[in-house]
Amino acid sequence: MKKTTSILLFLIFFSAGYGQQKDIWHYIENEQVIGENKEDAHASFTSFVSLKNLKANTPTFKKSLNGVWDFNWVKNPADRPTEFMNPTLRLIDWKKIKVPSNWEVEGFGTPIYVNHQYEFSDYKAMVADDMELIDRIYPKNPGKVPHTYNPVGSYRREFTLSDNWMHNEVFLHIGALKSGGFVWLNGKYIGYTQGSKLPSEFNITKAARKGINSIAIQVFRWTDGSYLEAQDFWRISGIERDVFIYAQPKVRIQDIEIITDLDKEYTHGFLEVNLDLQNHEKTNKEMYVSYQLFDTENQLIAEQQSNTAVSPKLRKTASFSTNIMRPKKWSAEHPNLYTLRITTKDENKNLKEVVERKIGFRKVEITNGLLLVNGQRITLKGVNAHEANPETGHVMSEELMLKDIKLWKENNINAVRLSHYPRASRFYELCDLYGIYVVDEANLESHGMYYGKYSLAKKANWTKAHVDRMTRMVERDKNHPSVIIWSMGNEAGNGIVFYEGYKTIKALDKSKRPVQYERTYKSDNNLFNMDWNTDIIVPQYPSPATFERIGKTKTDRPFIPSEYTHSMGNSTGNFADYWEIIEKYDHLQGGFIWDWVDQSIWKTNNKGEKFYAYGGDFGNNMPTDNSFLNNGIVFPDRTPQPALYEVKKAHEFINFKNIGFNTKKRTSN
Amino acid sequence: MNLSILKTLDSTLKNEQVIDVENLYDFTNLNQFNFKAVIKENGVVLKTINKNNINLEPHKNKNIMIPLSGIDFKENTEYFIEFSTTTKNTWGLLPKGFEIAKEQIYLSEKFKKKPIAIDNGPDLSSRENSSEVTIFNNNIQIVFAKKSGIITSYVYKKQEYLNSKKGPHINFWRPPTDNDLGNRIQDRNLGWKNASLNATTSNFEFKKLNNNLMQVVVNYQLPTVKTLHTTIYTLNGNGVVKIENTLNESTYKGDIPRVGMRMQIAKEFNNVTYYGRGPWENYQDRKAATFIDVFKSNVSNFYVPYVRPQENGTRTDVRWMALMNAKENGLLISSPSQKGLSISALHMPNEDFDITNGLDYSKEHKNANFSKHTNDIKEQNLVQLNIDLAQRGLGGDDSWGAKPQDKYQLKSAEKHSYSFYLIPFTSGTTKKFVELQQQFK
Repeated sequence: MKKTTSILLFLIFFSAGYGQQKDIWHYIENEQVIGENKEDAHASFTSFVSLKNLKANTPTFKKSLNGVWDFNWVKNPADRPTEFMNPTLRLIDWKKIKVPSNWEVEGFGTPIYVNHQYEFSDYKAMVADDMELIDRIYPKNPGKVPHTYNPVGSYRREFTLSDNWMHNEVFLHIGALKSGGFVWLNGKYIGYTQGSKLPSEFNITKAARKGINSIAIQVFRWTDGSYLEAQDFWRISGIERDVFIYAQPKVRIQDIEIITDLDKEYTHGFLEVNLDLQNHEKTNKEMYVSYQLFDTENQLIAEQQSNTAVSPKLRKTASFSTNIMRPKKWSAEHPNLYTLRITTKDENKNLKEVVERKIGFRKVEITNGLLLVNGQRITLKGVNAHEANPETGHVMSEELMLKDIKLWKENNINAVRLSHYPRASRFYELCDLYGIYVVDEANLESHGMYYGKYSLAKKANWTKAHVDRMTRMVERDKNHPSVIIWSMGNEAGNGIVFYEGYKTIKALDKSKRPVQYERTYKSDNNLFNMDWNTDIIVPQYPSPATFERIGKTKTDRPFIPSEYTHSMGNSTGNFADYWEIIEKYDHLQGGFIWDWVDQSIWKTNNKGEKFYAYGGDFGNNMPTDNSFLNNGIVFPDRTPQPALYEVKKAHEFINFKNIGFNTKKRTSN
Repeated sequence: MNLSILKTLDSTLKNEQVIDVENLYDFTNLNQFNFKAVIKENGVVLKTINKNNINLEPHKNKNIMIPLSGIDFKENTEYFIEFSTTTKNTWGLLPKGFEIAKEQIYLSEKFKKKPIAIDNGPDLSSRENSSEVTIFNNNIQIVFAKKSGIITSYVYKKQEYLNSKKGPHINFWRPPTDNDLGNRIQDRNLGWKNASLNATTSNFEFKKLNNNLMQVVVNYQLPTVKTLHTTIYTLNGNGVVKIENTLNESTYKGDIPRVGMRMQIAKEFNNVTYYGRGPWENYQDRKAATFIDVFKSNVSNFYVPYVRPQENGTRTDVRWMALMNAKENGLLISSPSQKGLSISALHMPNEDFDITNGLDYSKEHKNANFSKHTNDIKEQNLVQLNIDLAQRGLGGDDSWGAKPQDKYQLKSAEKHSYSFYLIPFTSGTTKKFVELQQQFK
């Protein structure tokens, strides 16, 4: 009898389409399961079949799935649809939602704003009675999420693939999904993903069809991944970035690694290009790979080619390196970009893929305790910036990214710390183009567990989840000249997890960029004795007196606070005083204002009045930290606050000082 | 005399201001920029000097000379050099001619003080009863209420200037900013709000100084902070009111959010011209980006819509501010000191930006609202003026306990004195305001 029941259960779960016959809790309440069938992370690039298509930016094999999808939302996961991934199932009473978007901003569920705590387990206002706390404020079982209040969003739509797609390897790219989700194509289970601020990609070649395809995605608001996502922002869900299908040849470029360097005099340059090639055919294939380098005037200045045999079983790396005479260097002031064009041909020398990336020749290093770019000690006049749009929550258009970057350039802001998660790839391309120094930060903040004995940083079983978020970021963003520093996260404690993370990033990044981490205080909070796993001293909110004290004494590392000047409301006082001090001492190399933009979203009340809403304005009895998310020097719609002009002034790169009224002419010529 | 000796003894006086220019760019020479210097007097440009070829490598300094020849430096007038650095060419996202640096330098050596005789105008009459004192002549009528010690009516050429009888009243409180709430101003400094709301008039004295000069002296006992405040009003036959305030020392621990007065005038006086820091809102610890200049605006534009409503709109170092109606009649507030005043003019009273009108800031209190939004703020039928010696700095080192830097706090243990003039006018022009301010010292 029991055997029959278990076979029946087996069949039920199998027909429901989840992989490996496991239930959802295996995925969403298990810090060891952070993805299934996900492609390895790789550098951002778009593959073209011809140079003509590349120059017109019309990729033949890239199909956007942005737009309106069928959508279903339930509050209790037990009520979620379990058959909808079946393409023939008619969807009854489903709604519509645009992708990308945040559900709660579109009216499905309640936007919650809390600062430190987990919104699903906040001692100040518990929303679920199956969440236990220990020592009053800490979740007792990190990784556990509410079982009855955990909204689920289910998406479905169709798209068409023409015949020529079928000769290629076909991939699904989901730009960002929060906080965990399952994917099906044409009823077949494709995979699972967590990690809400980096893309997830799946090889869908086997499941894809010529003609009409049906894609289904089911997203859970909360998973074990949420324990790493307690950033100080709206806690909302959904598919927040672009979704698209793309294809590459069966023998393809899987990853590109571009390393540029400068010689000891910072005069001549060095270029290394490593191409990871993957063969999806059954037999060995010969590949011809080459690159061409075009300078800032589009003149061809270097090219190399080679050929290699690629086995189906193992990826093969094709490497090139060369010296470049007197390259025009990249810096935020002069973002000189070179164009690297990579071409692959098959054994018959037919063109298969052509890819172009904009690269920069620059060197980032820490020497004698100072952060140098191209041999010059630099100052980071920075802001922290969240993805924030008062209309759409966390969904940022390219237009809004450009608006922010333009305002930074206009206001003497040359650096941004991506607080506290990586952005969409296009953002880095814009920073490469216009000249912004980027501190790329991993999507890691386990704030609700704080930093003591309950900290996830000290728990070996959480290492996998943490390090995965760091390495995926590095793999995707490694080729951007604008990325000069990696950050391991924010307010996530310190311990074995971040020691491991530091070592892993260092081993992975051939450009040897500095790695920083904010939470490297030791028990004495002594800024002269920060833990070893940060190359820069990046504390929070030092006063002007602390800057002066650090300035007067030598430190072993540069001092660049990750957050200072908390611009909440009518604030940003004594900002000019900070900069008077910073300009006196070499190892005070700037800082990042908290923060760029007020994060309120629009709300219209029943009188028809539209206003900026904050925590507590949505739902009933939700946990809230009220207006604490409005810390910007611009309003949510990017209207400047008076503070912005003060920042522009203090950040100026030219100082005028009154020496005095000259009463005597100089007697020498 | 041997002429060759004369030639080598080159001791000609040079009429130049020496300025040090420092290039803080890491990779850009200053020859990429145009430098313009203007010499300004009361907002008017007298001379422009262009220096478009300053060759200076990164992280180097150099002196430049700004010639001051050809300028007639008048008495009682401040002179400034203003620098503007702009891009010579398009630079990435910055268009050609975009300003990337600026500075204002005060030519202190050029200020020459010369007292100007004040004409105190026609004779004044007065009448008094148990509750009021009225001072008047054909052009003016000013009424003081004895109990509160404040002006309740201020009529000039048949026009009432005040709104709701709210003449200048002492005020030491500001609607808490987020940083203020962080350092618990509503606990530690609340005594100053109580002092503002519940001051008792301990003495009201009215005397005639001469035929066209009257004086009213008001002493206030301030509760909680337990000290004395004195206001001396001196009125002349032209309706000019000089107000001299002294706040005595107090042993109360909390610093003083602001030392000043506030008043309400009619909404029609919404057209503002002022000489002080601008053009945007500024405070004593956030004013480096604002230059002293003549600015024209209107009261509506002074409001800054912080998402959680709070203190906003202030301008510092104001030498004079004129508020006028469509007929160009109005009131000029003028400072006798070169230090200037800290003034805000808004169509909302401070209460609208505060959490409560009273003294109870407990979160459970039904009249306390810690979560106001911008749609709670609406223009009222008034102009509220805060006329202060100074206001506590904004701070912002953090918003959960940090106070403004010590040097930007107003200490209770110190005595604070300041004064200002209220000058009614018709046919207001900048020229007239400048002259009036120079007169009333």
